[in-house]
Amino acid sequence: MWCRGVVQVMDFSDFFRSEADQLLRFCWVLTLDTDEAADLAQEVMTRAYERWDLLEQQDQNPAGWLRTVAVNLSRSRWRRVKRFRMFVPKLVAPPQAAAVASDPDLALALEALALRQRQVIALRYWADLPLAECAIEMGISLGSVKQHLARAHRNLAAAIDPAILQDLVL
Amino acid sequence: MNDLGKRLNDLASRATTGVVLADPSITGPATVRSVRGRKVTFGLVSALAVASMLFLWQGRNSGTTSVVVGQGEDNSTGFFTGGPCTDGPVLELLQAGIPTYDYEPAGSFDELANQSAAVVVGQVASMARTEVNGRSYIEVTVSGVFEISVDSGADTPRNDIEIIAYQAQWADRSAPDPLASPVAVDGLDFFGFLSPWSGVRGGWAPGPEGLYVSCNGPGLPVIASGAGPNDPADPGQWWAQKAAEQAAGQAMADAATAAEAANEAAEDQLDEHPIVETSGGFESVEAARQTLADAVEAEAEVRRDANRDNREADPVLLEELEAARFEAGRALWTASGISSYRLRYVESHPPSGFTSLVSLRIEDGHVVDTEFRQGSDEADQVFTVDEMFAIVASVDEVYDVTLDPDTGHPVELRLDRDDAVRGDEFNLREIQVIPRQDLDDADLILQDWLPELVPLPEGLISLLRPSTDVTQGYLLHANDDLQVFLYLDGDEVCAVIDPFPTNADSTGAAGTCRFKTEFLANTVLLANSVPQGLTSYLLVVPSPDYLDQQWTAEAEGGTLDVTSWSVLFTEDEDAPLGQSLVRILCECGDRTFRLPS
Repeated sequence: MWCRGVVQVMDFSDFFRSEADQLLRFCWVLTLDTDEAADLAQEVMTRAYERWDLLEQQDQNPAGWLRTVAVNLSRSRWRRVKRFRMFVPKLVAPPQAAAVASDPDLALALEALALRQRQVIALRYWADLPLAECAIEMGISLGSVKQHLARAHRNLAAAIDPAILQDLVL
Repeated sequence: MNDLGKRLNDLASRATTGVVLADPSITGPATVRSVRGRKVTFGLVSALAVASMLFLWQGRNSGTTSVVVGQGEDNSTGFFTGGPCTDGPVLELLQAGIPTYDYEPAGSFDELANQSAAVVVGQVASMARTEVNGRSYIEVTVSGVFEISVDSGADTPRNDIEIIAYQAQWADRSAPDPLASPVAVDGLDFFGFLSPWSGVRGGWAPGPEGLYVSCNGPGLPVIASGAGPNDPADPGQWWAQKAAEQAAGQAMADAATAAEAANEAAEDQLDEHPIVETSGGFESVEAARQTLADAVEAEAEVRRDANRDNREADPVLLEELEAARFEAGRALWTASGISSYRLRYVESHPPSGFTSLVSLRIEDGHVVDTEFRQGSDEADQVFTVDEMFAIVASVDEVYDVTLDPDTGHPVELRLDRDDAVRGDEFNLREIQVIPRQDLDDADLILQDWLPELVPLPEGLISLLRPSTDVTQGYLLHANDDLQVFLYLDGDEVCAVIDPFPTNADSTGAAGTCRFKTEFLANTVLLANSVPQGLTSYLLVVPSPDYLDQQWTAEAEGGTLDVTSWSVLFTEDEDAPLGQSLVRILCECGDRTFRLPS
């Protein structure tokens, strides 16, 4: 009889309860759209559930897996949005971020970022990951992460208090 | 979490307040996705899958009859008793009974598809009524089932779907239930919108109005619409309509994907060379260039698909794509920032035969010099590139617009100013734009490369007078028979030989001219195949980059003389005049020149 030893196997429902809200917020930072974020997060969680046996057995980092899948899926969703913007511009609603009254400067600044830049901001500052882990979760090189982050800083600096960015270490 | 992280989190928290995700371990993944408005992703199917699915369905069906599942009649007449398929009785059989549940039919096929877990086609083998836990069902045994849900991008065999069942109770006590025993049927195809249902044997049930059957044979009646008022009654037609949308959607998706990939490639290129500052608009030009390429590809894809399917492309979609391509070209031209340039084009009016070869010099967007090539008509109006874009937007009919992929300017326009007036159609073609900066750069390269400037022979100057005032040139080659000169004429480089061949009707001479940039880019100036007495000369002048490459000649007779400035071939004196017996070749790195081409 095989025994899994001392590894604590987490039930999916426990995992879901602990990560769902975080994932939803992460997805919102990626998409800046509540409906898109909810759809994206739901899809990511559903995929996690379908692969839960693998995720828990490999004893990896399920939360990191969620973020990676969210980043990848957000790219395909972004493509779709971009497609519609290209061909049917009048049907695109104004950016929801602009309506977020609590911090409109930051919301608008985020909206102006390229997707990659927003992804790296989400991972680096919202998820508080080291750059090397950002690179792993985005599937790109460390150098590229730095480039995207530097550009994101340049773009954000014009919109928010530069002092905030001064404390950030690349 | 630092301050920025906290502000991000605060924003995200406020934006997602009240949103609750469903735990898939409780609701099941399929349910969760449908709760969140899962769509059947028709736009992502490959065109190949569409074609094969259409074949699968249409190839087996020449008519379709819809069945409103469960909305049965207890009419016992004409019931089908098995064997080869006949439409009416089969339908009655499938409707034999009273539904014992309430439902709300879908308003459209799209909605029906969205509500279903699988859209499938296959053959019906038999039908029978069964009872499970006191409830009565019609079980339809099926075979050869394929899912035409497009998520997978291909038809998927669904061997797990063997029985489709729906509630239907036989309530007519005066007549025997025609489905009391299984009824086998041959040649009955079905189209089903199915969802899993654990309450029935086989585990699959059709959605309300979600099962369509068809016997082989044309013109079967449609007894009920399975969808909304604007949907075709036949799901095969609906699927064909989807196919057209899928093809267009796929083309657009591919274009968008290609655009993203190209943008990222451009961005990565910058990543590798961080020293390059992009403030000069490189990124925007690249993006505009990619957008134009995507628009071109999207339009081409739609046309290709239509050709492949032997049908007309959707004119409304094409018009949108053409407009998108035109706007992408104009945006690229604007982003390129070219305001000073040389512009050449041919204006022609097909009905009248009017043809004007126009050469313009444009500074800061304004025409400062206009020339019409000798012998051509003189147009009343000339156009800058911006004016070309404007006139395209203003005419009644645009037959064709071809755009340059690098700068977006029109290369060819076929227009009709007023579609109520005959004879006002006109074309602008062979449109050539040379930016001023490129010409200046080319001039510097040429000045550095050309040999010493020498006076041209007096006789040649006289002959050239009608076309140019040039008096000096660059002697590239001389032999016993002739001399080869290049001379610069404004923005052009010209080649000419002396003595220039003349006859009694000659009024002058003209060199063979190219824009300096064209000479450098195309690397070779083919001057002419010039009759000189009984001898023809083929003159090729390699441009600087290719001068030192290995030039060879394929010839029948004659001699080849290669100098440091030109490749000159003297054809066999016995050969017929004007007949080219030579091919001059150069395998110049990534380029191959084969002249005359």
